[in-house]
Amino acid sequence: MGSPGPIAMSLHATARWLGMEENALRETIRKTAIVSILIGLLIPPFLLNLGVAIKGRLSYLSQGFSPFRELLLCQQWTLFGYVVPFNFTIQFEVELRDGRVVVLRDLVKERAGKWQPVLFHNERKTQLNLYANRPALRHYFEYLIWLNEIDPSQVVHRTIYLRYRDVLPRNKATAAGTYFDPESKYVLDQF
Amino acid sequence: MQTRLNEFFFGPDKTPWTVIRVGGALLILATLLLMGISGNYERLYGHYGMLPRRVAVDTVYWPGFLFLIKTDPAWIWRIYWVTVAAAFCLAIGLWTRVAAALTFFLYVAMVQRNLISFNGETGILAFALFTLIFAPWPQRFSVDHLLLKKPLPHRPEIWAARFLQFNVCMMYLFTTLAKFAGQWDLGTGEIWYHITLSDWFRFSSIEWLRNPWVCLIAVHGSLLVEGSFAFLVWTGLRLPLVLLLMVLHASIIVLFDNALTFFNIAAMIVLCGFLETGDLDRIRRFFERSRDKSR
Repeated sequence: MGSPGPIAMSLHATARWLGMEENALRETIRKTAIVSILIGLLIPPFLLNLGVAIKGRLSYLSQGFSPFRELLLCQQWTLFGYVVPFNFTIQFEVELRDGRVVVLRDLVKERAGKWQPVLFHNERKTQLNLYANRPALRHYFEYLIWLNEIDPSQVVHRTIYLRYRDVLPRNKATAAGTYFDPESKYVLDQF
Repeated sequence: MQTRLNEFFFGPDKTPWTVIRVGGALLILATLLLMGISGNYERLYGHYGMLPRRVAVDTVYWPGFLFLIKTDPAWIWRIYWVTVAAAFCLAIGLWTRVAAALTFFLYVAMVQRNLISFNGETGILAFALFTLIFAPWPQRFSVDHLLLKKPLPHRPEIWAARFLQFNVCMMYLFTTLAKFAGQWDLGTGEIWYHITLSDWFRFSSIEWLRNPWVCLIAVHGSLLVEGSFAFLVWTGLRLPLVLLLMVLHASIIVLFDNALTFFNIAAMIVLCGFLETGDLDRIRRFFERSRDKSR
């Protein structure tokens, strides 16, 4: 058997200095390390959400924590409190050099037919994420052009429309006899 | 104080890890299955998908780079099948820790490849899978124990469950705070009126669901349950509160669009992190007593 290493030696000396059993000290170190790591893992999401929920002076807390965000261990739970204030669909339209206007279709989704609500069960969330992310919306537009087999060099204008219906407040809805405003079309992006 | 703290983090673990492990793994397998057969996997993560590889190399976080390493478009399908295999091993409890770590990383890598696919269940599954890496091992109903004959841990400690529980508490606490600070105006409950008229709601044609009293109860009831959960779950109200929240999530699955189904299943799975193995018996005894009283 070899002689004990420097860590074991110092552990032995520390335990003797503290008047503890070596095993008890080892156990205390293990438990302290576990609790410290647990707290260390919980602090980033706690501070992030605190910074977002309590705006003003504490909003700086919501910055940083990149390594945790990259591993999806720093979630912004406050997002669950958000409700979309209107019903919407996004429409993608291209104008070609020959003057034709084509509404682009997502052929992958259409292929699912009546199974679309099951196979693309998360699609509403995808659309919501796209609505909130302009660069992603533009990339999706290019994907649809490719999917619809349109030569990108023939496209002169790309327009993204938001078709939406506002929900009327209760008193207005009673007076109007309907719950919804007429559908509106709004240019979300043009390039 | 020290003893209580020691008991809180290192007391005996009675968490039904098998339910969390199997539930989480099956949810990931279902997600992969639906994305795989629909073409949505290629659409979201393909080299020529909605975030093409040439753009993604400059925008994704490092776990997503796994999908970009090779220029071959078939590469993403190799990752797909490895993820399926890892999630399957996790579901049956084969090489559980390694399977949990692999599933966690591959799932995170997939979501980071295109953050447009990020949503509520993604966040929940991420911390649930991460916890499973450190959860007591092997579990009673797992291949590791039943076939590979790995002995059950002598005295499993509860600290891994505490990590899961704190995350769940934060989820409900901060959701409630955001609702208070945002559109969820107290006193009226009109946000529920709007919700019942959204495209996400299955039963928009049912008028009584928009009755002002229903609005008031739906909004304030959910705020009360969610907001108090983080504090009351540590008291004797733990079991009824967890069951109540599970019922709330199950109701959301029924009332709302399919887009909320997986999220609510994920929430119910992590709520199991607050249950103990003897709770089923407690529930059974409760119903037996109620039946005896009614006779």
